[in-house]
Amino acid sequence: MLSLAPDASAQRAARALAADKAWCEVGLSADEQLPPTVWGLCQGSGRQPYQICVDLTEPAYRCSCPSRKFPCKHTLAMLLRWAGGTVPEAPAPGWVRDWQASRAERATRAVEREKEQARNGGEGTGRAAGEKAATRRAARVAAGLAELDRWLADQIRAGLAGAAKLGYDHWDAMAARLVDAQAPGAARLVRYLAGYVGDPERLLAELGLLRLLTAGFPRLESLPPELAATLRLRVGLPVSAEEVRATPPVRDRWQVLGVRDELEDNLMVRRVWLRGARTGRPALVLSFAGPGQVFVTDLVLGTELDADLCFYPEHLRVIIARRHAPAAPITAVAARPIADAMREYAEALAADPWVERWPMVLGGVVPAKAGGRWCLADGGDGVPLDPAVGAPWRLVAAAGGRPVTVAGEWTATGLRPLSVWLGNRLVAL
Amino acid sequence: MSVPRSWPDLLGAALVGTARSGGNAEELLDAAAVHALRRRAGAPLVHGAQPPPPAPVDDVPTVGPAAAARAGDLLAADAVTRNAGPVRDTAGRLELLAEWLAAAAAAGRRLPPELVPALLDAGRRHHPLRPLIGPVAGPLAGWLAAQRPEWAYASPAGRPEPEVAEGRVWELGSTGQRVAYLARLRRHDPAGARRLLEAAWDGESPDDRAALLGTFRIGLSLADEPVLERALDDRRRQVRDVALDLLGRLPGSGYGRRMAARAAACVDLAGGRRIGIRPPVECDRAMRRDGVAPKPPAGVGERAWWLEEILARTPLSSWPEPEALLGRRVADEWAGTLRRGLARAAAAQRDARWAAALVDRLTADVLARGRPEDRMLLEALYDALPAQELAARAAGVLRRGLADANAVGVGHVLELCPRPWPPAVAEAVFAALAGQLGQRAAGWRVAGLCELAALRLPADQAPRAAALAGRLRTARPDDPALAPLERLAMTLKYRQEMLEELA
Repeated sequence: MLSLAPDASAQRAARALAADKAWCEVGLSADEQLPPTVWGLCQGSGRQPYQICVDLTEPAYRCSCPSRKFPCKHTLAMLLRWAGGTVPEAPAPGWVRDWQASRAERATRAVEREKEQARNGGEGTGRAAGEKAATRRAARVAAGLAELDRWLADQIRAGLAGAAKLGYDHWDAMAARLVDAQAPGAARLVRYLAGYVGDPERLLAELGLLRLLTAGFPRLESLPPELAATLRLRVGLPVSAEEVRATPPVRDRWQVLGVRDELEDNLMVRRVWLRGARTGRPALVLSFAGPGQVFVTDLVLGTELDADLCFYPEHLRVIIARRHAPAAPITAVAARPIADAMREYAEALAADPWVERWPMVLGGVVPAKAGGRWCLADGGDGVPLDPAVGAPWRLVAAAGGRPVTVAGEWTATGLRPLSVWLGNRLVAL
Repeated sequence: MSVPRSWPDLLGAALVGTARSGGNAEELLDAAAVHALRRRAGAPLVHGAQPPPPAPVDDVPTVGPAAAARAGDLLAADAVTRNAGPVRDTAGRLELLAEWLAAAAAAGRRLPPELVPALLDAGRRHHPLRPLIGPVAGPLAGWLAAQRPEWAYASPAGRPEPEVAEGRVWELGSTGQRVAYLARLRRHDPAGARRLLEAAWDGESPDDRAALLGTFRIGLSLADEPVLERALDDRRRQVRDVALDLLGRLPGSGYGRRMAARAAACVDLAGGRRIGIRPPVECDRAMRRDGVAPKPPAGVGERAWWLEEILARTPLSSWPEPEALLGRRVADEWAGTLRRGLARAAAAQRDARWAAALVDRLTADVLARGRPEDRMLLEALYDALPAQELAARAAGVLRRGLADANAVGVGHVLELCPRPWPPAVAEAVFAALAGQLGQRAAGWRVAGLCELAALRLPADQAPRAAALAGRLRTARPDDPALAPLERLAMTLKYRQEMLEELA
């Protein structure tokens, strides 16, 4: 619950407040017409008590206090009380109903707006302008990728042996031209090349994968539609949230098995890895935070969420379209043997050759060393860990030399463990 | 030339460059893409993994989730630097961690296994944590220690044996190994160790002589006296200092008798209620050999200094009872010298009775004159007092108010008091805080006390601290001097919650 808190001081304040006597009234609405909502009145420093309500299905929250933290300490404290089982069922007062009604109305309006846009593609003139802009952009991207194609061939003609001597400028210049050509996805891949100059095998592989992009883009029309959509996404052509929401949703109990924050280009990127308990399907929720910002995300490791997800064209990234129930703790994690997980990865690679990270849930593995390298062993064979992870002592201690289930990201350099299931709880790594 | 078919050939051609090796660059890239995907899809597994034997089964239950989360916070090194933690610095965090570990051990619970590596890392850097690790980490600590040499201190077998075979360490080992060897030998065979060192004495370097002789602290007896007397004539100062230190700890030694005789010549107790003082007229060769420093510090007369040096080395057993001696009158110009000499003896010989008798008199001296040396001496005396005595002193000193208490080093007394502080000390601390903060000025005096009290007061005093802070804050909403007290209240609350989670 406290992992929803925007920072540590809000956490502390919430803990203190949860046990406080400032609460005048709290209740959990058990009304047929309303989604499950916890509400409460808390006496703060103002004259009127603050009104707090939380829709447990999202969770969405509102508090009438002036705090700029979101969620504020009152909201968190009320959730703590609810989690502690001290909130009785009670009919919701008027202001709670008003809030839920206004939210429902907003949601309906948004859906209608989307439908309308889908029907006529926006207004008459806007639509024509939009099409013109899209055509212009496609032409610029095509020109940029054609230049990248020539540049790739130049690298091979000159030979990679000399690449180690080239500075960052060499790679960044090409990346910058791709940004100008409105192909940020390709630009990102080119910028990463600078990191592989010491490893010619990796460099050649990555150049080959870029060539797949440049060679595929001019003949998008002839590719299978799914692959074409994936390629457009990897080049960096935008996919709107509306397009994603328009795809058929997949409902499941989505288990949060990994959360990983990384700094990419001055932006904190949070990857939340989900896996469907019923379908076994992997999913990725991406969120971003600029310097000084905090993630507005409520997906907590070790919980599962009954929700509809809509997938981006590469079948991994998702948008949470609808939640059916509040998140609950995971009670079991389905894992698969190493061989099956690797087969699944090979299939994913066939559908999206540019996939950089693929989530895996490996069952019955023991962390072990093989020839100086850490791996997750299943008998004598093991999945190598990414050397950048270092010695996985937390995992080693949690497993205690016994087979466990480990969730992680598989990358070109090895597996990065994200969590371990110990039969009754999920431990972050 | 056509594009090669195998990955190594492709790589070779790409490294050289098709401009030289021939072939079409685009085709080479296409082939590289196919190979790269095939290699990735074929995900290379590693072979010959050697999993460790399973850890011993541990039936002791782990702590609850809230307590586990708190331990995780305390073990996360960066938590404090963001100033979000309950204490400001690493020392405070380690003290909280130690309290957590002791409470978990008392409750018979274990740390969740995934946190044990972080705890072993903490113990590696901070020795005082080490004895607390075993009870909460259980057999997992030893199992992990076997896999990582840096954690060897936690393995039940202790450190791995030195690489030099035991019998050869004395001849071939490094200085550190030889000192450790001799120390082990002193533990069960002091005489054998003495013979070993005597035989090697003349061949050792001065530094080694000093280091090796230091092991005689273990199992010290009068049988060691000849060796120590011989070391008093050593050319090197460090060796002589070690010998002097050991002789001073040896009851009934000739050294002690020599000092007692010198003291008796200077301090005349025959005159009934009055002590006559006749300080030494010179610092002769024999006195210098016994460690009396001939040159006084600035501002001290030669003869007074020699007297102090003799008194500081005289066995306290050669005097009457402390009160019987200190109760007598003595000429004003010698009173300070006499007290300081005896106080140094009490601190060096760690004599609680003499320390207790001297500490009040010295406190008066410090308050009257406040010489820094006297304050240091006072702190050395506190070290010799038993815990209960210290608590009584601390309470007494605090009752004089914080300004005086700080002048006589109340921080040091409180530092040495048993933890958590006994009720009398807690009362005195609250009274002093309320008294000091009641007057608007000089809030800075309380900062140090608050920081220490936050960690040492019993955690159940949290509501009382919060009430005091709240009352003062209501009266003075904008006074920054109250911040340390509020921090104290917050830390105490943190500790109270921590201990409740573990109860």
